[in-house]
Amino acid sequence: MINVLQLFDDVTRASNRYYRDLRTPGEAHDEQRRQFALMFAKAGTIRIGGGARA
Amino acid sequence: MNDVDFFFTPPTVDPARHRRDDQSYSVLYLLRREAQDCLIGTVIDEAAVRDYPGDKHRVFASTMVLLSGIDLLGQFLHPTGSVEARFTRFVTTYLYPNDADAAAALYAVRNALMHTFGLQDATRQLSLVLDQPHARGIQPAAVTLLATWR
Repeated sequence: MINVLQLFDDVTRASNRYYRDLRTPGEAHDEQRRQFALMFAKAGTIRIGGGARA
Repeated sequence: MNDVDFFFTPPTVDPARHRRDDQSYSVLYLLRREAQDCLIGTVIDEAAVRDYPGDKHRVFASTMVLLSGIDLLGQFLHPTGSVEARFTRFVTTYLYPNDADAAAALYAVRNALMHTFGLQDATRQLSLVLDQPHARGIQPAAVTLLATWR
């Protein structure tokens, strides 16, 4: 059963866990950092201003 | 600020302070602000949203933003997988660890809601439960998406 308020908390916590792993030094999360860097370069930002473009 | 910290900038940071010189914003930062704006009409510390005393609204849109957030984070965690693999892998890794059935049910909700703004699924019974009788309108805050995965 999914309550939207609970889902908000759960997704927030999950995001924070992922963030924590990305910031944890060591080889265990090197592959995650590599994948993150790959995707960030492609789709990590949205540019807004002077005509919005992704 | 490195890209990881930039991407995970808390939504309470002022947009003018978050924005980079090239006018770019973190997609996740914008999504986290959008989720709160939909749900409570403002942006506050995420830990306080659940108990926010004001009205809560736009429950369907808020849920869709949250489900998009799972898609986004899954894409960063597992860029090469299928859409379903990216979504469910993030769920079973960080949201509901090792609960593959919960991930499958949430993915069914995601598909039904995001594709047709509905709750039609071929194999699961999805329904809405309204459990906040004093909320205004037809989208009370505590709409519950009931996915029968147990």
